[in-house]
Amino acid sequence: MNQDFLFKASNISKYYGQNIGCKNVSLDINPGEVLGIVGESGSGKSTLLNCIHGNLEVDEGDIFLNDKSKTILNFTKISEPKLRLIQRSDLAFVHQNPRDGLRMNISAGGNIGERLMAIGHRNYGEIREIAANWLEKVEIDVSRIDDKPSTFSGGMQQRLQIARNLVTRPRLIFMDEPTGGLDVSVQAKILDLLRNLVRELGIAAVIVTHDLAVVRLLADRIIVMQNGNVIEAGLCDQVLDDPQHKYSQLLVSSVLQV
Amino acid sequence: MIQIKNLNKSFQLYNQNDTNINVFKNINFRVNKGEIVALTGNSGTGKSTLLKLIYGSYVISKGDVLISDINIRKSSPRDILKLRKNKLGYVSQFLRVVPRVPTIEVVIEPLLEIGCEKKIALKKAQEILERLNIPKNLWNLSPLTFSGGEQQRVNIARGFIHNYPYLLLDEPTASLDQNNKNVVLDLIEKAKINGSAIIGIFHDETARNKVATREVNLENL
Repeated sequence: MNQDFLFKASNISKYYGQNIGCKNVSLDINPGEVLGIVGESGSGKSTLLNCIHGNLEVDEGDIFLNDKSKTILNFTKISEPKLRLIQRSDLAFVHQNPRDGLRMNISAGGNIGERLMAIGHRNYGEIREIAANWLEKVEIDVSRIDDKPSTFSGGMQQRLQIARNLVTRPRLIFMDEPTGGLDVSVQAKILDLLRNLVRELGIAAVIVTHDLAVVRLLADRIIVMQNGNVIEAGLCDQVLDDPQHKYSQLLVSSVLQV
Repeated sequence: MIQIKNLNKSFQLYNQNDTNINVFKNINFRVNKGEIVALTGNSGTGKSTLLKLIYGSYVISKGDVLISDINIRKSSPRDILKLRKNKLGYVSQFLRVVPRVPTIEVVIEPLLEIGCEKKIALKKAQEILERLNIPKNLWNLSPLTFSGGEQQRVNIARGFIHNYPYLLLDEPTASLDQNNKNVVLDLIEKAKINGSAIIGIFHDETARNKVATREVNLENL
């Protein structure tokens, strides 16, 4: 077994009554790696992401995190509070809709600071300074620190959500369509930001997207899902340039040149 | 050394009437250190396909590609990524980069990947961009707004900034003027002298004759 792994999910299945959410999915991620999950709407990408993040209870399978102290934790065996703590420290989750990942009624600085406080920061001045620093990193004017995110544009909200998630220096970040719903120039800004942060901080990421151009630029490896099953997995450019499965071929050939 | 053994490639196109396209069969050759093999043959004989098979972007149908002692067909995605990062370079005709990232950052990326210090990487990037006649005022702009020839030179800068022992070149001089073409040919020549094993596609005959130690014609195989 690969002992350097950061995160591993084995044989994950999730059913919604009679319907399959995802079935028998296994994946593993090493530190610093970016894994893309692609497939059309309803293919089970988001279900899988929510399962492996621990948001959604799985019906079958195990999820392991190799935590900071090199202890291997099994999400399905640890207590709820312990899981929540891991979700706030080792992990992060960026939602497609920033409103799902932000607290809209507290200030931008508060949104970032809240995460710091959750892991034990108490010095107000320090928290504010870190928050300002992160606003700068995600290219939001620091003068907006006391404004509520409801006064921000969609692209700014998404960048704020990323800052809120990264401030605690997670080791693995889950992203559900992080650039979906944003116009192309804003997408570029976010992609650029994500890539820099992934490299700078050495964090690993799992990105769910239906946008193949986005995965090509960000992911090292990808998995292709259809009807809850993984139908193809491998090197990102290999799966996109020479897909072996009928459905992956259709998926790749259905988009404009990327 | 790069070794190609009984290599076969075909594409099965499931959504296009299950068409099976045989690109080539039983390709055999090897490229030693300090050699440049030029792939020749008409369009459609599989020259670019062969480079992509070696690089791991295409799936090998049958046969083997060995890069020193690494068998590409048997390598995991992680092994291939590691090989690309450290040893195997690929310069294509097309620049694929994240929008908005400045040229200089694009060029230093392969060095940062292998853990090179940013200061040293920047210095090397400046040298190579200067050599390739990319005007200094463009270095902090995204190459996506550049002309075709400029984009290609950014790609070349990126491909040659690290001394890859194995190098794949797909039309590296295609849309360049004579002056820049010569600069690129010099870079290729230098890589050869440094001991790289190189496989390239050069449509331009003079360019090919200038750098290639040998030709492999895919039509005669």
